[in-house]
Amino acid sequence: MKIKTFALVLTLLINSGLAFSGGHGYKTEVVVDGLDHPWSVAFISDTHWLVTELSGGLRVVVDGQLDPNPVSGVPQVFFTGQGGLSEVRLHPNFSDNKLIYLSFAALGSGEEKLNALVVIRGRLEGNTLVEIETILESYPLRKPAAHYGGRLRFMDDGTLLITSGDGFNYREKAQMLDNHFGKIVRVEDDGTIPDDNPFLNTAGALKDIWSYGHRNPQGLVISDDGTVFSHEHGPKGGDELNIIVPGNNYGWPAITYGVDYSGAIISPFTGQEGMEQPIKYWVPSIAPSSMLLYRGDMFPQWQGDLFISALVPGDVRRLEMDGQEVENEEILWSEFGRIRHIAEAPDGSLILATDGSDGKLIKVSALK
Amino acid sequence: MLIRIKAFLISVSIAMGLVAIHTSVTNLLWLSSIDMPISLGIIISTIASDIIGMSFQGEVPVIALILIGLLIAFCTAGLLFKRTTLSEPKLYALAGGTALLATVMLLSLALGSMDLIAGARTSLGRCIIILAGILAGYYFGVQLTKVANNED
Repeated sequence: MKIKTFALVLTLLINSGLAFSGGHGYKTEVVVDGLDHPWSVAFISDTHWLVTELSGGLRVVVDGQLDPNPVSGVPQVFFTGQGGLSEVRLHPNFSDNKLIYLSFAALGSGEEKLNALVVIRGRLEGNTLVEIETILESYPLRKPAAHYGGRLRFMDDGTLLITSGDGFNYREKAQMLDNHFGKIVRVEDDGTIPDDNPFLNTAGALKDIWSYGHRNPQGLVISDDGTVFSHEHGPKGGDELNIIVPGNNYGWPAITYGVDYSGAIISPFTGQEGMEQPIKYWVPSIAPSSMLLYRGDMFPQWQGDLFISALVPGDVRRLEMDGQEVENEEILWSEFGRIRHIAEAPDGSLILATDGSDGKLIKVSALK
Repeated sequence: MLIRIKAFLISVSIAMGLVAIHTSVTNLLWLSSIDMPISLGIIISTIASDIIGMSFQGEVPVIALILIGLLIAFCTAGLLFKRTTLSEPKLYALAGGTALLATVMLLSLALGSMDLIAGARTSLGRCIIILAGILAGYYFGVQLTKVANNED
């Protein structure tokens, strides 16, 4: 009888979407479902969230309820392959100016067969985005709908970092400074070029480039001491976690720990003078999709740790850091499938966005 | 029949080997252009690794795609042979080149314009891959001609 009761309780728990972590001190629960390929979450407040869907919807969650009406005024996105609406990020002074930033793939103007990574900002008025300005359109246009990067982070000085992927077919261009393929870009919050970018005086270089030699960087965090961490998808093996220093070359595709999807060698080299080494790399690949530096009070034991969401096989990697070195890696939440985004809510809980056409937001909060 | 199967498998190997060598050389030439230290040893080991890697270790084994492409093309060529004035080597060379062109084009279409075979990203690269198919087909056609002559 006791076994039957236990089985019944367990079944009810699983079916309710609520699960507890034995000795880990947290519980997980699905708070929103029915999202179409959620990509990014931003928090206006504890109870008011914005969620992007790759298919182009900017959705609003209020008190745990998904508003059926997406935010209007969001530009048309190029939703195919890996392309679509990607990151949403609030301006550091959002409470005053109501500005939000979006990254997405869009068809090139006048070039219907080509597309680009685009970053815009607009003012959120109620459920409408107005006064839209283009912050970046990646140069040159690309043919494949792949490897956009698309993560956005504001630095303490108010400038904006943008990750831009290599476009898959253009990997060699990551080593050249006349384009946005495989770069991390830095602009002012209005898209103008900061006067201390590293390649301002380099002939032929795009002035907004901050670092180069990247593949498809989709994780970007800035620590309290200003250290910029970025991770990028490797090819077949060779995902990397890097510390980004302005002006540095991160080596792709001249050095790599991975091989091509075809099985061919991309480069026989894993190191070269003048090219930076990752502080950690993964072989086989985990397909790192986003990163968070945990600062919250809900899990004091995790403060200062990096959390990396992964698409393959689908989990979260918690990296214990000792300054700029990775001390330990723990695999968490492998039961939810592909995780597209991990974010820290204002109350310190963690929000995981699962990938796919029936995407969910899963809340990880402390057991009371 | 066994001779035909053997000739077909060798022609697949020729195409695969040439595609792999082309991929290796393309990558190594670019690395050399940015002053990476390419030695003879690296060239040999990269080509050997690419032949094995592209045949058996890719997410999609390239050798399987080439095999299927050439099989369809050669069967079609075999059906057309009596209706054409082309010799077998020329007909199968044409079929082989078409097969590899179709393989890289269809692969790119299926993957949203992403080119799985890095050597196929440029027009010149695609021409070289077509040439690999032509040579593989030509070899197969020559072998079929020899078989036919022996049977006569």
